[in-house]
Amino acid sequence: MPYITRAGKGGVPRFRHHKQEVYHKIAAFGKAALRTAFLLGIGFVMLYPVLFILSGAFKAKQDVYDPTVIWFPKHYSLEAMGLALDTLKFGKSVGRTLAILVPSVLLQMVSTLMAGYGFARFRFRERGILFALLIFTIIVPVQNLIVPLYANFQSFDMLGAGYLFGAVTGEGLPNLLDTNLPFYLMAAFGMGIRSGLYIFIMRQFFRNMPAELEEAALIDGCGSVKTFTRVMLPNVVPALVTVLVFSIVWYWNDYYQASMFLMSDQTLSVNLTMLNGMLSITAQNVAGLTSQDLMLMRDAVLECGCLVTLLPLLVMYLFLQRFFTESIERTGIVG
Amino acid sequence: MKTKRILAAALCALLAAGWLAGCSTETGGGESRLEDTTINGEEAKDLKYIRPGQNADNENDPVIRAIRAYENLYGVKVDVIAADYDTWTTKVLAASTSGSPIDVIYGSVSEYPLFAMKGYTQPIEEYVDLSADYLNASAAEAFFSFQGKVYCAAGSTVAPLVMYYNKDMLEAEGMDDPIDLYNAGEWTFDNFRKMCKALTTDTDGDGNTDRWGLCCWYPWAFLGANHTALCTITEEGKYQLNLDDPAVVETLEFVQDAYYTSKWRGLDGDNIYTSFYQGRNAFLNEYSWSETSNIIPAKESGQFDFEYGVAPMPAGPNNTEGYNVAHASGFGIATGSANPYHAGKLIEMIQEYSKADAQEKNQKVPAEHLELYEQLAQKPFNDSYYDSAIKDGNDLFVLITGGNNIQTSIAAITPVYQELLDEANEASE
Repeated sequence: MPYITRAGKGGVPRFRHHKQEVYHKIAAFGKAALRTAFLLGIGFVMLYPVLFILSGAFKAKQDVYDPTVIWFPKHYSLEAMGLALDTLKFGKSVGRTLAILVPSVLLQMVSTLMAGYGFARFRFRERGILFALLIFTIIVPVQNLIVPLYANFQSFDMLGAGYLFGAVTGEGLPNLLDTNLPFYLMAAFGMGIRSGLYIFIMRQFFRNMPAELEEAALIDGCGSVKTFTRVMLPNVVPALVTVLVFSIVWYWNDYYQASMFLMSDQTLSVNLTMLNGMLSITAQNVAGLTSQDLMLMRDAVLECGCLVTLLPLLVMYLFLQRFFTESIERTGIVG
Repeated sequence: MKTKRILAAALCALLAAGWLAGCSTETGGGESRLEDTTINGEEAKDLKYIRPGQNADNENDPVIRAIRAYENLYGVKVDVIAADYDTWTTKVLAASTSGSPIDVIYGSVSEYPLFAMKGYTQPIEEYVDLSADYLNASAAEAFFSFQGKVYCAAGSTVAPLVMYYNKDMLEAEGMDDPIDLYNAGEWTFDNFRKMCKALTTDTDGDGNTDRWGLCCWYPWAFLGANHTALCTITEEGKYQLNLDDPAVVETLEFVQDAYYTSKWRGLDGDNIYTSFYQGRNAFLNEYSWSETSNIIPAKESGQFDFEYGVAPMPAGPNNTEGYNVAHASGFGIATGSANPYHAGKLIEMIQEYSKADAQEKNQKVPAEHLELYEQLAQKPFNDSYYDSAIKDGNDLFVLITGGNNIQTSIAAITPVYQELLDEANEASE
């Protein structure tokens, strides 16, 4: 039975108990305040570029050198947006990007799924070496591989198929550059953008699944393929969504491989890097736009270009944020 | 009946006139195909062309017009390869390695002599007439030659780096006209520094400097103005670091004084043009092309109303022979090109069209400015020719302009630059 004095419960004098409560409350408030300040600071640092772009993208010409305009323009204009969309050849660029993105993402999901399952569930002698090579593909940057890849796709021959094609058509080895095929082929064979990482994610996910599921499937008479498709696949949907989301982001943002493999019509991200250079030329065809107007609008146009490139991903992230965080937690990829 | 005949005849005449007018439209595509498309026994084949930032859809671009004209003359296709400034050299290398090189390759002082050392391009004298008036032979020899051979045909428009200055401001401060100092042989680093320091001040008394002597984007250009560079090229065609040259150290001290110690280089905002137009700077350091593309349009649209002048860059103590920093660009022919003679012909046509276009744009430039540019272009020099392998020494200049000790900075950067030069030298073997 607790010792209760006339002062308060638990043997603690009422005054001292009250003091301790106050200290606790101050400490809790202080921690909350520090936490909030820290998060606000980090949030500002991360959001600053986006806020900056939003602030400048719709700014009219007359506000550019107005020292009183800092974050919120006094005059709004969509002229810069129109010029940015025109220069980026937005429709064409997005079309090209999606033509590469959609099939590549689907092929990548299939290939990484199967490779991840193989690494997680099958024991074979070369597994260690292959896994080391997989890690190698994650570590080595694509810049190291791009020249041999370019040469390979420029005169493409896989297991003699290229020579057969050349013999049949009489045109020599096929040149796959300036087509979407390099992206499809690389994705289909586990060498797409960040495929190594996705195979790793899948492997982690499959390893965390109980072996009893497969044993039960084996008892029921399922072979490897049926076990994979009927038992394992339905349970791996969260990981698949993770790979889907990350894959879309990386293919949408891909600049280096697209700029190397494509010769004419470029993707949105590549056109964005050339926006500044192409702007002067586009502006010549806009009636009434002087070079001074262009100089005033240049920053706004670049910001609009960044905004239209960023917006689809931001929207996607707003709806699929849960899958990003859950996947990182499930697969154990940290740091 | 008679009326009908008159009307029919008038209609025919109208149609014929429209047809003839359409035929005579000058778009560069009106050339008719040559009967004999061979050059030195070489048959015309499809060519590939690369220049970073080139927009193949812009039919107003003189380069695209030249390409269309070439296609019509020789009945072949020219593939304009889209490339951005970051990856285009990798594309050139990859194409070269794959055995199907890009025939016509853009080049500027930033790419040579690396392109020649690495074997991307081949000597061009056999395929291009370098004495043509639309080409600049002296720039080609100064910037694009390697071991006695020229690798790139420079266009006739060599752009010297000059100082645009606010004449009204200098007059109001009682200072000499820089062009007078230049003509008197007194347009030196010291006089320039004194002027800039005197003009750097707080004009509104709020305690902050709001006017600076100089605004510029290329601190390394002062190396060229002092006729030195961070690297040299030996007779065997190998890069060598030149960081212990007293002229280099002198230039670094000069730049550090401008950016850090005395801070007479500065700008209002982040654009040198707007800072200059707003009267925040006395001198604007830019290439001569900026007069047609920026300064004249700005004056015409009322962005500034002061009178401006042009003077060369001040000469450093080591520049005793009157060299002028200049930029040139041109086109080279890839090593292993299957059609070098036709590639050379395409280059000639591109430069011819570009010169005509430049002459049209220069109509608004005052005659004395054009004369000065031409005079300065006769003795061009660019430190980028030697420093392209170390990216113009940008890392070193970041340290120097940030106020770091010069000797310590040189010591820190030497191993990094040595590695880059070793790579470049290895590639040339």
